[in-house]
Amino acid sequence: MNRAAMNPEQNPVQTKGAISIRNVTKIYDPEGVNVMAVDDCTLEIQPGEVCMVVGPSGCGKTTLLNAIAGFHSVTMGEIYLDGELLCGPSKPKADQGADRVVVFQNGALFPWKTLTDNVAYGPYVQGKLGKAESRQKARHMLAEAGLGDFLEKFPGEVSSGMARRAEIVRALINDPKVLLLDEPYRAMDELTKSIMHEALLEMYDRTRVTLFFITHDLEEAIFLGDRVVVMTTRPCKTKKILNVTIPRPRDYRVLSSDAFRQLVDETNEAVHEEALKAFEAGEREMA
Amino acid sequence: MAETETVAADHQRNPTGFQVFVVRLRRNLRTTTPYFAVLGIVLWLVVWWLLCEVLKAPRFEKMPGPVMVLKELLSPEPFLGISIFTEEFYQHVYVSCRRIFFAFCIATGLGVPLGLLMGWSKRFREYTFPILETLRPIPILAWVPLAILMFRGFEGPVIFLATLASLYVTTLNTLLGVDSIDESYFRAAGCLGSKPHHVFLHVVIPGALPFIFTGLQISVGVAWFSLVAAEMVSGDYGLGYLIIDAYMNNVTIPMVIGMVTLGFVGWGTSVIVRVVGSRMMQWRTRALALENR
Amino acid sequence: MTTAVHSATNAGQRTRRTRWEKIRQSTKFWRGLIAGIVTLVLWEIGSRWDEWFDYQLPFLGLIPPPSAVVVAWGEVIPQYGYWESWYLSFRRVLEGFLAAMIIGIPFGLLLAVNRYMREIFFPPFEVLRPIPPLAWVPGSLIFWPTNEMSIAFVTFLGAFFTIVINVLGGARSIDIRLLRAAQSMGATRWDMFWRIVLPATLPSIFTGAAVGMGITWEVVLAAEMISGGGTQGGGGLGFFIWNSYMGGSLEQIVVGMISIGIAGYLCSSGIRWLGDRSMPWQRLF
Repeated sequence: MNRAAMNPEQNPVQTKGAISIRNVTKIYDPEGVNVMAVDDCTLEIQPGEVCMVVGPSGCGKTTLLNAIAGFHSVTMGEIYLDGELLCGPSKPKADQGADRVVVFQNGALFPWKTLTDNVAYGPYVQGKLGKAESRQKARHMLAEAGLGDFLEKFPGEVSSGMARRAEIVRALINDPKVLLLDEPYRAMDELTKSIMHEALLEMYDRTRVTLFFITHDLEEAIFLGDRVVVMTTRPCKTKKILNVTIPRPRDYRVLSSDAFRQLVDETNEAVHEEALKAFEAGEREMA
Repeated sequence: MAETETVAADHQRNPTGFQVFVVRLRRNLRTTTPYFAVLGIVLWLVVWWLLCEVLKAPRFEKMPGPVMVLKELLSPEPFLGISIFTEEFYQHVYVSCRRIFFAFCIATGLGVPLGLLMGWSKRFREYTFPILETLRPIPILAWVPLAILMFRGFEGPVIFLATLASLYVTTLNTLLGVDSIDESYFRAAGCLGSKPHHVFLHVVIPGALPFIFTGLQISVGVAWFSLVAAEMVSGDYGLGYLIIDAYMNNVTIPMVIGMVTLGFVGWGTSVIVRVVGSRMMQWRTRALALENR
Repeated sequence: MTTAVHSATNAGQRTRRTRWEKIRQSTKFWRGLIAGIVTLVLWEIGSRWDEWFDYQLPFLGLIPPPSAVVVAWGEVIPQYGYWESWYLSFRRVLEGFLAAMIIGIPFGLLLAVNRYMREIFFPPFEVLRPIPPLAWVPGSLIFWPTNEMSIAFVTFLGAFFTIVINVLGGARSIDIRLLRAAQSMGATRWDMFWRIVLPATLPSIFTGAAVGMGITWEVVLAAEMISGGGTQGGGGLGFFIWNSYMGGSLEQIVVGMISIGIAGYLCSSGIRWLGDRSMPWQRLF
């Protein structure tokens, strides 16, 4: 199945995985008080694009991601994936067939399954592969990601970096159209993070899957992304979109280049103002 | 080929439960903890012995001391008819354990599925939970007369009361267990393409297991609690009956023997539940072991 | 389109729904109500089955119907004895419970703070704990001079073990960072105990108290049934039930059960209320 892995030079041009977010508004209504999380947000994401979303904490980025993933409906507007309606004001589609897979903020590998069983879960429950075959494929893909020594470990026994990597493998084994990452490297130190980044880029070069990546680390956003979308504080809408023109494949040397520093400065300016607003509002973050 | 090797290596790296036990025991023996524990228990026995047998302090003189109890318990021809050599003793233990076994099995068989369903389906929970919450404040003991009337004989009421006590605990803990599962596991399962029955099998059940087993341990405890009460009020055999029978006949030694035995057997059953639990939750046991807990 | 949403939000922010409105609008409330009514109706039908169809249902057919229970309750309420039972049971529960709190909390804290105390006194405590409190009833009836004292003793024991275990667990699981922060600000041991260990243990104390209260009611009831069932007649709600059983009044048994349920519920709500009051920081979430 891994055409891309066999000849990495020949980057496949991705044709699936275009997300179109049109005038999306989301209002929460807990305790009778309306909270507007997303306000009239419009965004077009090309197939195979790495779209990085940055914004102050609690601004509603995760709400947007959840809407794309189909975890809840939106109050107004629509979200399309390859021209197919994913999410609108009515109830989201329940059965999603793993065309978009989420990597969660705090990690959501099932702690009661070994890494192999975790990765094998997707193909098995979708009925694509039998139990033994899915495990076989899972072992193969884990080994490819450098986790060959941890196949039968439980997530609680490996480092958070390893677990996060396994979680991405668990998503990729389903051959999804979109990978939605919700601050996956939030709790990691810089050194581990840089290793994770390189692994993610390597994976992206192989598969060219569309990435929708939420973060509040600006350097991470620019290092990984094709485009960086800066969001305002709550209610969240797009404030600024920066195109990152640094050529791929990128490695850590990019971090010290002038083009990179300039982009960081530019983003910082946009984000700082919003961060200040969010801080002064002083509201408790919505997880 | 390479795969089997890694699996084998894995087994070597993960010590068995017994090895872990031995290592911990050795480490423990090097600290003061076990010696203090022995000291504490001995101290307590000595105080009891002094008060009841040597000083014969007022009121304490009515109670048997540890030496008297031990003598009676270990004598092949007990003065008062109950010792570890008499068949009657084992009859009482056996009857109580059998009742606990039935009650525990029924309560677990009903309570765990009920709790899982209540946690899983919001609608089912909203219909059933208020009823459960209305019945729960009524103490188990208040059911005694009704139980005696509803079930004929000796076994029925006792098992009913013990089951009822366990049922509440098991159901509520299972429900709590399902509630405790992080929302992101459900979402992850959903976006990996699970059908509802997959979510139930692969997320709800294993996710709730830690709470279920905590609940089962408590449930064994309350089962014993209500069993004793029920046997005291209505019973023909069993440890609770042994105690109340001794009281009625004004002998104290079998009474204390009954209490001590109850303590032991009750402790034993909760250990069994705990061991089964850690067996079934390897993922948790191993993670906790890494944190040295 | 967007402007409409804006005005809706602003309006929404200003008007909070009242509590009653919220209850009325929630499906949870209506479903609970329906479930309750259905249960009552089924119970009534099941109990009256033999009157109507000449066949007694097993188990349910033996229980008096709710309507008869209500009638029996109406008869009992004006009686002095019924309220005296309430008073006696309440007094016993509170006596035993308070004694367990007064002795159990300091004991638990002591075990938590001092390692030697814990290592010496905890093992015998653990040895005694698995013995169900009710097994102590006959022994304490022999040991204590009066019935009342032995009931109080057993009640005390029932709550004592739970409270100590909870206090000890709570105090031992205090975040070490809090203690270190206090130490770095120059707190004495005494300060650390009063300002950190005690408040940080409060949630566990209240959990223990709530569980202990439940056990206390069980024990008081059992003790009243076992001892009061004899010649002395100690009174109380447990005795009320037992007496109704002896007198063959099924309706009164159910009345007694419901009364105890209400009494137990009142007590545990009281503890919850106190807990909310004394731990304002826990309410934020």
